[in-house]
Amino acid sequence: MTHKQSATANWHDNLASLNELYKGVQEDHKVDVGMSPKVQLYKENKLRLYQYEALPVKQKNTPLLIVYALVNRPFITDLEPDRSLVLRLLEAGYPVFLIDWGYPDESDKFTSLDDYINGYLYRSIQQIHRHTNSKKIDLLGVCQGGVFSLCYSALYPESIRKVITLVTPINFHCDESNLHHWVSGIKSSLSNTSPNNIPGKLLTHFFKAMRPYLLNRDKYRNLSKRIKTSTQLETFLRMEKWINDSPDLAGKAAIEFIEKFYQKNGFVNDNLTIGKKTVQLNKITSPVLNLFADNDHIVPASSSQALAQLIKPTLYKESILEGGHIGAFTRVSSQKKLIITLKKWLG
Amino acid sequence: MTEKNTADPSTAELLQNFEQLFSHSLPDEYKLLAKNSQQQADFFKKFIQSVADKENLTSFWNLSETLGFDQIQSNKNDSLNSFNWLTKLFDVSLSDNDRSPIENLAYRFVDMSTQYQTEFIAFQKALAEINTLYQQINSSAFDKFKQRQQASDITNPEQLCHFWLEAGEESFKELSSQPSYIAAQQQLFNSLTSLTDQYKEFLQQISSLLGLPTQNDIDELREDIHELRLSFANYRDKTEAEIITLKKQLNS
Repeated sequence: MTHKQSATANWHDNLASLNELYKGVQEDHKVDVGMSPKVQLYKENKLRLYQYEALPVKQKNTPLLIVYALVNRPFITDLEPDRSLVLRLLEAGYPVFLIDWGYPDESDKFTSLDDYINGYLYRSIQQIHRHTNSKKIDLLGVCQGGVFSLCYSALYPESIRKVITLVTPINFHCDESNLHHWVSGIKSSLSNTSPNNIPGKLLTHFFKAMRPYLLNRDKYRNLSKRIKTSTQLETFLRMEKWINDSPDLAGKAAIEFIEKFYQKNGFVNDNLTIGKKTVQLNKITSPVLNLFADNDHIVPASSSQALAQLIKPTLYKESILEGGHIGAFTRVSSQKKLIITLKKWLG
Repeated sequence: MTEKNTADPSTAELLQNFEQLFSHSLPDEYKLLAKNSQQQADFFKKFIQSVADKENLTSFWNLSETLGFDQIQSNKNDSLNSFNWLTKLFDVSLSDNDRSPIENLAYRFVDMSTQYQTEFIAFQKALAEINTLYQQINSSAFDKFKQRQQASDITNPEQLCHFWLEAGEESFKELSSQPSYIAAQQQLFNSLTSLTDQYKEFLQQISSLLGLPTQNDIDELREDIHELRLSFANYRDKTEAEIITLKKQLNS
């Protein structure tokens, strides 16, 4: 077989495979994510606070709030039943809550980090306190959500029992990631007077540009070898849907995050203020479990591990997960280890 | 698992089947995957053929095409439409069809504005710089690919595509962490932001001249509404807390 014939045969296999898998797909079929049953507990502007329906297992006492990043949608934590971090937590009896930050529009361009942390997040947690009659909650912050969770825990330590940070950047100036270099020189002062939202599409392109050849071309090669069943096809499509579903970032908060973290490295340099409040991680009084991935090109392990130097040693524990930034908690094998670690530590 | 039929459909039949599926409608996610699969299949087919024909392969690592953009044009004489993809991301409308009447009016004034021209030249310069660096990535990737190919003497298309990937990602990682690349990328972003701000400033001036609400007027209103919204939410939260406290006191 010549090269051309071989390449053509490979492409033919891909097309044939997709053709078979596509047969019978109805027009109204939906590729859905985040389908674990939940009820809306609170809403404010674009924000929705959800409480997931408990499963018929013995329930733990302390509510667990998942705080996701502003970038991308939080339902990656509930991608599909076999890969749902939410469902694993529910199966273990944890009362799970989740903040959906929503889709900011032009009316949200003046939303600051202070508004997000001391406003939206604060009020959402008050709602959980009241609804569950609990004085303290546990926080599970993912990526930038972990940054928010740490800030909150430092500002309101009386409200938090335990904090888990998952693939969370702490040292924004570590060399293993290009992200800090690419972002730190941006002249954010240009947009201070009238901040513009950062388009979600730009963010999607930006993240795909971090591994351009893999994420834009190679992943579509040899689909017939990777996707053999309709279940695998659905999983692939869910991931694609999530990757391409990036909300715009509220302008002021985005600029502040770049300045305070990517440029000034606020946690490490101990010069972080959110609104009028100084944030110092050594003020955290609750135990912290820091989970990070061993192959994360967005938040390198060393960036997350820097937390060890900033939290009281008696409160700090860390654990490495196998996989990348998202795979660390969506891959079936990684999730198993993650849940065992969480159950053992959370209690 | 899908089983192979003894009489596999031909490529033409497969394409026809897909056409029918699309015309009878399919969820968007499925269509997008099929489209992406087909596009990348064409790309890798051409790549393997070019390897076999011993052609120049540098264009196969073209970053702007890889990222799904049109070819970056850096020549001053090129039409503005050649980097519409980038300006659209920043919501800068440079095409007649996209402009509102007021934007059309503004555009005429924009043409005459020296400052806008200055910003535009800075943007073009940044674009040219990044284009040069992209070319370096292409060349570096080609060199790395050749080294791998020659070292292994492999002709298997699967492995050649893998070499393509490794060479590309390695070159990109090396060059994108260089100070020159970082500076060029930042300059591109900053100049495009400046251009956007200049453009919006002109729209502002035109609105003001015509006695219409300006963007600043609208932003002031937005900021006030934003503050009001937060104040109300805060007030509601505090009131709810007080009501709960009062209820507890009454019940005790």
